[in-house]
Amino acid sequence: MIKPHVIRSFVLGVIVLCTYSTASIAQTQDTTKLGDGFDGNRANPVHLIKLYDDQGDLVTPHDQPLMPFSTKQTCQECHNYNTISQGWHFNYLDPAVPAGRPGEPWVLVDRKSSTQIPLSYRPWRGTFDPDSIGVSRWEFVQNFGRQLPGGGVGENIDPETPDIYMRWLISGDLQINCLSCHDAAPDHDEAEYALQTIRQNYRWAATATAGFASVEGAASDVPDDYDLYRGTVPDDPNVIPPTVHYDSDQFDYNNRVFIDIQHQIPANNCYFCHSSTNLEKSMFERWKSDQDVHLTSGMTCVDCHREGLDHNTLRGYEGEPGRQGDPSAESLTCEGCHVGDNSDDIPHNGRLGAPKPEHKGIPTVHFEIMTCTACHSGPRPQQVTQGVKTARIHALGLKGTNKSPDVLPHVQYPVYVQGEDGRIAPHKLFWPAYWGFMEGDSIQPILPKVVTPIANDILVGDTLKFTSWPPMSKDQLGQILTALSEQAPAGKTPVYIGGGKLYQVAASGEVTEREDAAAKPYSWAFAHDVRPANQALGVRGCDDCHSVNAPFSFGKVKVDAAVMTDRGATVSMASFQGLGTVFPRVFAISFLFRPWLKVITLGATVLITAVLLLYAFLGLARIVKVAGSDNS
Amino acid sequence: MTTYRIISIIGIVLTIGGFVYAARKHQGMWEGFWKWLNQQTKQTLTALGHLGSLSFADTMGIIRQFLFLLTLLAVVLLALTGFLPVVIAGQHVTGILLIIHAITAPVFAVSLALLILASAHAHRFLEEDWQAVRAIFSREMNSSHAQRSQFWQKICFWLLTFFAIPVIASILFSMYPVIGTEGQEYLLQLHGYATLFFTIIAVIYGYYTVTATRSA
Repeated sequence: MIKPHVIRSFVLGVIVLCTYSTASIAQTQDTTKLGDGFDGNRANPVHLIKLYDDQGDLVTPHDQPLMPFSTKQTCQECHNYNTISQGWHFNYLDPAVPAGRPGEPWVLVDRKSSTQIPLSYRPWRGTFDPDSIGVSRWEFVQNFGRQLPGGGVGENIDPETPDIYMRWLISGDLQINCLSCHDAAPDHDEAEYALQTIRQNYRWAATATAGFASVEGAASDVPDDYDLYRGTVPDDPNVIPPTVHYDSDQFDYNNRVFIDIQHQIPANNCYFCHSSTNLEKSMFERWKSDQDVHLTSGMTCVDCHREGLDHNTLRGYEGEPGRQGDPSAESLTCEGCHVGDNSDDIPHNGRLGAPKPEHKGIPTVHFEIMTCTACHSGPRPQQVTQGVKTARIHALGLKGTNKSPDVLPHVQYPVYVQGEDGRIAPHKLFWPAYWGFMEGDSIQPILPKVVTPIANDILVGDTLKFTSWPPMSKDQLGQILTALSEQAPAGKTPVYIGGGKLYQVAASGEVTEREDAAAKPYSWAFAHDVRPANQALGVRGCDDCHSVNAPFSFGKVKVDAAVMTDRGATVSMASFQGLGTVFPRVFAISFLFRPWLKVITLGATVLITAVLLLYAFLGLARIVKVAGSDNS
Repeated sequence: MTTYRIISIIGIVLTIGGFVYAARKHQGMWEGFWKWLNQQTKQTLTALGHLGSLSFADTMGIIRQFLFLLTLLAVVLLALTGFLPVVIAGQHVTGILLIIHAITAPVFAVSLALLILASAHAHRFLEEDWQAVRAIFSREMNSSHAQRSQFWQKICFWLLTFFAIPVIASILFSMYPVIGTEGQEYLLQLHGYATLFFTIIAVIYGYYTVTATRSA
């Protein structure tokens, strides 16, 4: 029998051990490390560093088996990884973080089932939370890991099934890839990172981007029981397990390698995930387009989109949550930098030599109902919106990306939309399309993996030749809805959302359609590329926006629809601006009479002034006469 | 805009308060004003159809009356469409109110300029106005109520003429690409304050017009 004092000692020991462990973890999470502080020297610290793998073991080029280095283990030697992981690029799973204004979503696209669903873990209106519609985190990382910077969902894959758990044991976490942003080496290859995520080589992905390492093989190819630490050779000789090779010449005598880590991140690194290209101009005639004026003048993205150790990147728009009252943050918005508030004791505006615009002849109401970007950003509006591809939505920059301009989703810009702050700003926009089960006003999207097998049987067999929507008639749409109704949970009706409409099968068997809030397009404000001042809207006068056919108000926004009979429709830009349809038209017509108004008011001013002066002089003449009179 | 709203509300409340006080002091003034306005409108509209048969002096009188009524209507419309959104709601003039404001503005500018042109001579200061001034300062009651009303009416007229210039010119200059953001802001404030004073003085002018008519 165990004596009580032994049990007490054991329990006490466990408590002490737990307390010590917890304290150690807390210390790891909160400690300011060597590289977290700034000693005042502006020179870039040279990163000649040792590499560590997932287990925290030193990586040398002669290890057997060779393991990829872990950014978490390697970088947290000198930097607080936990603090960094709460930054803007990684904190989207945290419901306590304010979502801010809607941004670019991830789009779950499946051409065969005519599906394009805007996704975001942030609660942006119009997007769907992947967790809530059945997109597992494993699937999310599979689909979008290519341009995720790691961390966030990549480190919270939360394997739901044994199958995925087994795969995750091999693939590992998609840790924050510090190199994505900070590695300024010319041989840093972010496309390689994307390729590794597609192969499920998550733990190898960051390593593969470095110039001194290369990765071959695919975790997705090896069997579930593959032991990566033993490097077991698969039975199938065609299967190459994920393997890393290091250039041993780049390791010094102390097993250190130089990584060109820069605090001042080059724009090129941001571009891999934050590029966009105009389908009518820069995509095919790149020499005809220009970069953002700020970059052309020698600035980089992080000159304005700054962050501290917390990596809480400034998004840079007025009213950004958590930034009010911080002059440094507020002065890094368009308005804060270029206009600012001169009444401050210490001026904060004009940073980096930002010129102050004069805006001659532009009534100040413009600055209250529109953002700076409305006139200065994106391409000048045309009668019909232009197509645009973005890096994250269209997987630009990857090896083998489909370069066709027709690739879904069809994103358009510039669309001038009244934002949540009540101001009109240029937006990118696309029309969501998905199958769903409707109950009341609520629609739960059905994922492509459910619809595609049905759609494949009903739509044209081989849709590979199409990059855009496959041909779908209303009859075919009705057939798919009818097939889905067999899988519909009780009380739920299958519907299709697309082209701004909601389609469903009526009791008569006929396909009915109506406008519905769920079918509204998803749009998000953009700020770049900023055009030169001489190409801003309004620089050529009021007619730039206030003429009867000005694209700003009366441009046509294409309604992108999968259903063939609904294709080609457009809606007026004014319908997105909260001004109704009559007012913009009447207001534009009033500008036809603006020259007359100028003449009339000028004439009236001259006449009234003349009469006032005349009688003032007559009064003066009387005073002079009285004052000079001899007769008292 | 907040300062402007506060000053505007104080100004408008004081003007309305003064008007109510005056209406109580002069029993039947309000009814008299509407009766007078109604009569003037009918008379003017009738006479406009027979301008050819009138003498030059009568014709000018009718035109003056017409311009007065037109300006009055324009002032009311501009004040409502201008003050309501800005002072009450704290917003810029927009939508249908902006359309009405913009359409009425040139009518106001033309009719006011012509009215001033046609009425300036009648509002010139004369010897009896000097007597009214002396009576006001010496608190002597030897000048009639009508004389004093006319004097104040003339003061209001010339103040209206003075404030009409910034009211119109501020918008005129804002339409040309010569003044930048800060200047535009200043012009907008100038327009607002000048309009406020113009409107208050116009109400006072109306009061003296009515009291002068009643006294006569």
